Amino acid sequence: MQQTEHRHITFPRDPLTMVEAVRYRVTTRPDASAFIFLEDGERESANLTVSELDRRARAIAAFLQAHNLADKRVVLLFAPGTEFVAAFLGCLYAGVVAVPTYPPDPIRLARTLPKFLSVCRDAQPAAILTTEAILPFASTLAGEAPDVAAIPWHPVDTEEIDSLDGDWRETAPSADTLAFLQYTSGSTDRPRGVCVSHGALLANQRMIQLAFNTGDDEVLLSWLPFYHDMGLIGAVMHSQYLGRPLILMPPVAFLKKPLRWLQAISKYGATISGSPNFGFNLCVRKIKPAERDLLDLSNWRAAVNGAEPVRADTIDRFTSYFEAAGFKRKAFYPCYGLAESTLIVTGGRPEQEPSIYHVDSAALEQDRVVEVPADAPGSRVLAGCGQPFAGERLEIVDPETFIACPRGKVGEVWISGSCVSTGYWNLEQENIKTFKAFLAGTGEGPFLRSGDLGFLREDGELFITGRLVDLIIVRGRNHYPQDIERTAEESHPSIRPGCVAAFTIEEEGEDHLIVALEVERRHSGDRRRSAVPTDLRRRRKDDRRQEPLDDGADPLAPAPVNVDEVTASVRQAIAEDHGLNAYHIAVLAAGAIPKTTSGKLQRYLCRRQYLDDSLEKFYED
Amino acid sequence: MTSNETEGKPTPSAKDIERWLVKQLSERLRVDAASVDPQAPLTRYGIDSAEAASLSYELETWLGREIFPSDIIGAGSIESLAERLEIMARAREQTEEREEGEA
Repeated sequence: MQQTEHRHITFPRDPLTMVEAVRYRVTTRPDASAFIFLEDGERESANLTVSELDRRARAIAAFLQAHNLADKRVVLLFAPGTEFVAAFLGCLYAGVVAVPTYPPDPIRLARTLPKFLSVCRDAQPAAILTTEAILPFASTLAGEAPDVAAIPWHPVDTEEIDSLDGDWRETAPSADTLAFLQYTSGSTDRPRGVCVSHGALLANQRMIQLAFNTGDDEVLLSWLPFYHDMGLIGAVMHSQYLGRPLILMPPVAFLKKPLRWLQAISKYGATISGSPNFGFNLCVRKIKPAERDLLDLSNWRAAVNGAEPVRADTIDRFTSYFEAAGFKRKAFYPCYGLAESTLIVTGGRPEQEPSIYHVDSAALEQDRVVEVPADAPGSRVLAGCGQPFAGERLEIVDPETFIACPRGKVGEVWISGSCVSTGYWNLEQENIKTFKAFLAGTGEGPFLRSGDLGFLREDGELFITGRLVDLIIVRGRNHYPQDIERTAEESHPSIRPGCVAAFTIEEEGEDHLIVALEVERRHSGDRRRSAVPTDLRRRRKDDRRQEPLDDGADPLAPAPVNVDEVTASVRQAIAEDHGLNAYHIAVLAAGAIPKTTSGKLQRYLCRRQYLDDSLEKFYED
Repeated sequence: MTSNETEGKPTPSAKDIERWLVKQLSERLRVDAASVDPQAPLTRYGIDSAEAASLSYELETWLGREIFPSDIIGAGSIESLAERLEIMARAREQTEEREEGEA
């Protein structure tokens, strides 16, 4: 096996916190480039040196200290750009607990606002940091959400704040001091903010350094959002840890024209850049051969693939298409991680070919791992996610008995180590279940239960095979089936309440959303109560519903079900609320969706019956 | 990027834009063009956030105006979106004419 040179990064002594690591760079290379922002994905709209970024972070930190916000939670509401990076660093500098949020979309406020409000209400921040451009948004909330409007809102891009940099007083947070809350998981009804400590943040940076083998010559590049762990910890924080430049573009610039991502990698000679699996597929689909031929991807050492299941066929297709532009297959770096363990959990050896494994799919359905030849009928190909790092322990555990599984058996991935969070903000009961699990028999623990299913091969390589807990991951973003089901249910009056199941199936190397729902003829006047009794919800429901006109028909006769109208309404509502396309909507007869005796939805069974085509369909009269 | 590509071309009418949107739907999502209702929003036919982003880029290069994916996802109907895009494109044309007049 080819040996890769092990790289080091230099600190005068091991930093105790991220702040110490970042501040060290200010003394050694103040004039080096720290952050380049490509607002439209092409032209530089900002270019900050290490000392300039540090100065802005100190100014914001001094403002936060002057307002006695140390140890308090502060929501960060920013569009992608320099202000977010300066404000996030400012919070770390001041010992303030940053809460990055998913910014509501001003054009579709009614639909994107609930998530933002639910994070604000869960985190109970002492202030909201934003920009002058976004500030007027606060006053528009007065009617809808007076509690959130009443939180003090501070724009950070003011001359007043900018002049405070000299006032910052250095703080020394301890390793277990809370650094920020990461709200990537959790439904709108039940937001879950992962508590990330200063110690875990730094420990994860060390792991990322080992994983990607990063050194003093890296150029990082990212289009991932800040409120996503991979974008924040893997790109923004890691560039700061290394003291190396980060080139950043907004996610929408990439989504509009995927070529921009690879063009920027080519132009800046980026060495480290990652995406969820779908981003690599999108490049193959949207970039024309003539465009590809102008790219130079030869410096790209780590094409990090994470945040959604890594597909072996994506690795093949991307490599064979972009080899002509100097891309190397060994640059693909599949890894596994989750916000509950800061970010990275396992990863391969840098600059080694990704590990591909062919197993029998029927055996895998029964949680057994049987290796088969690539061309065997019923073989399923899996891409390995590497191995755990020093200081971490990973166990595959039977999720029913809590007994550790032997190698080659599928179970739930359990994790312990220095990067595992202490829990979700303010969710004591759930934290005991999720973060304090102990192995049966030996009593070893505590472990974090990841909710992911997988196995360890004989050589210790981790393979992820599915999800134990219902979670829909599309394009690297987590969606809760409950949220999607509620959107569907509210979109049309013929849908039976509580009788919608959302899940994903895999087809052509991607996960697709399937919505199975029961319909029935409905009596007029039989209007359901809204599950969310706000004016907001009611308004949107009224916009969407196409109530049959009163044409003088018998008011007591049940209204027939129009299947086309139901599927169109559901598809529209899911796209508007969640940005997802329902790949297929299965319209079923009443009682078709499997439930437990206590009436709990059985999504997993429903998915299996959907794949077997054994769910009872609804037929129009 | 856009001004060079759009210069000299007549501003498309709302009907042109509507036809183009319906064609995109049928090509991208294999929807039968004849069955598309211009009174319905694009989301009814399976446009998600990724497709909306890609559509907004093509509209940008065609019409010479910045267009956001949420303009497309949030549009009430294909028809009203096309009308709004025509107005935006005309506003650009007028700005350019004014600038030429000043120069």
